[in-house]
Amino acid sequence: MIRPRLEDHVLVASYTGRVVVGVGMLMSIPLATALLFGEWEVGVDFGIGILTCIAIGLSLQTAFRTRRELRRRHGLVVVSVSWLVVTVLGAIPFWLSGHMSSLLNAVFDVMSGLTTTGLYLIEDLDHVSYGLSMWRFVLTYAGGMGIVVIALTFLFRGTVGAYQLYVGEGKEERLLPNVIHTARAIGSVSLAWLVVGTITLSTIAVALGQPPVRALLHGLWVFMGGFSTGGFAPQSFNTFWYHSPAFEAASIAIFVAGSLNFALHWALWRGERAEIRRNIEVVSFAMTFVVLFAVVSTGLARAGIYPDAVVFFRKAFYLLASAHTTTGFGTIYSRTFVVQWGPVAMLGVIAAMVIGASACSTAGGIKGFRIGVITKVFVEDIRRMVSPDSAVITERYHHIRKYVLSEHTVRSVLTITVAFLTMHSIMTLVGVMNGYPVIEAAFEGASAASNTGLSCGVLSPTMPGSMRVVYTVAMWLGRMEFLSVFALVGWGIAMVRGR
Amino acid sequence: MARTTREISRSAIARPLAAIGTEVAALAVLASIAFFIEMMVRWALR
Repeated sequence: MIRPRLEDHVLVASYTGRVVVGVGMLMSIPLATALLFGEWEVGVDFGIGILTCIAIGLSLQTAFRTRRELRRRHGLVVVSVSWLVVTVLGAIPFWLSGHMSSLLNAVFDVMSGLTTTGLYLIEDLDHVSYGLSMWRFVLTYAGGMGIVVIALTFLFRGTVGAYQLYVGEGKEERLLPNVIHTARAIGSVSLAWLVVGTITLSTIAVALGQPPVRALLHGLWVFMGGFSTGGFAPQSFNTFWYHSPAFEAASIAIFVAGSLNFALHWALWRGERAEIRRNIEVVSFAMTFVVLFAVVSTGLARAGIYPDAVVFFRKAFYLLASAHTTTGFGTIYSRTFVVQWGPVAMLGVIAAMVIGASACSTAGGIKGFRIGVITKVFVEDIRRMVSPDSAVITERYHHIRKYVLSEHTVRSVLTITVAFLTMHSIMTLVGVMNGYPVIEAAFEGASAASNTGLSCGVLSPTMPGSMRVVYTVAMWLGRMEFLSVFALVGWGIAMVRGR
Repeated sequence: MARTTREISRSAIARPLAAIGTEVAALAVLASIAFFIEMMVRWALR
């Protein structure tokens, strides 16, 4: 283990400073929104936030000036540290707003936004200012894209070490040979969906009777909450507030699209339409969705709460899709899961959240790719058992192109999967130790750890502080897919025990 | 042959829309399968 030297720390501090400045610049969006709507006090809150970010960011860059390039271990540590620093600084406008009962709750909400989880502790959400609302959605949208990558590729052009940061934020695939171009390709896909999604949702909102400006904001915000698979919504009743099948249909298309791998989006943009039925992640998602839909349907049919087939489908499909894509939009009250849906349907939803959607998307969870690979390993083993000893058995999978399943891939998949399952078990245990029933603790724990955001009512501003801390850390670990956080821990250990 | 500005802009709009259409169509297929499953489950548990 090599002990990090002074210049390594300088490098990490310098890049973290750049990201902090980038986040300060992002705050200008909610500042402009607040000023546009005459929310002067909110504007002051964001002014303080921006000045703090820029002061800290520039100080870090000035004090730790370096021309060295990032290497992999630096990149992972920069991502990990940046997310922590940004989470605390991003909480300033929340904390100053008076809508948070503690700084911990403000930090929780920012971590939830950045990690595209969607759980929230903000109080009186229905009367939050336009400026603060905009900040919630900017956080979740930027977090989905990768806040460090955005800061370094769009605000500071030509960053050589950007790929190290790109990997650290859980996106390993290069859509194009150059990582800057890859980030811009992701930006193009997101922008196309932003235009189409916002126009569609806003039009529906106008048809539902909202004034045009408010409808535009709701359309934009629900799009940002959906495409980032974040699950934040402008109202406390989430998408249930709209009571509209059309709005639900549009939002479901948006969050399912957000849960798809950006490499798949890009393949479709290039005209390779067959990819959508061959891709291992799409096939894996469809198969687990169908199985879990049968489980949820069985639970709901036995509970007998939705006699009408269309209402049954509308609720079950929306909620399961929301859980499986780790979005967290909801069209029922939180406690409905416990008092009406029952344990069978809840188990189906928990499994969906744990599995999650595609890698290199905005979604969380174990990810469809890993479930697909594990399934392939099972198939390979069974084929080996029934074949002659001399037979050479190989499994292939399709993801943009054909791959042969390698030992390296299997080992990497199993490591992350075991880490996720361990974290879910710990989350459930923490909930149970704090006095919550097992099913509720498992549901809420899975929701936080997989960055989903659905709640069955466990989460509240007054729940034990230890649980709020554990949930905040779990959201961070889940979004980083452990890699960056483990790198940070390793960095700390190497500082003490390295040579 | 060089592409005209109109052809390029048409392609820039048509390609993303075609991709979005493909994704929405795939979701519609999944929804149809799910609705069929719901019917089967309700029929089995009636």
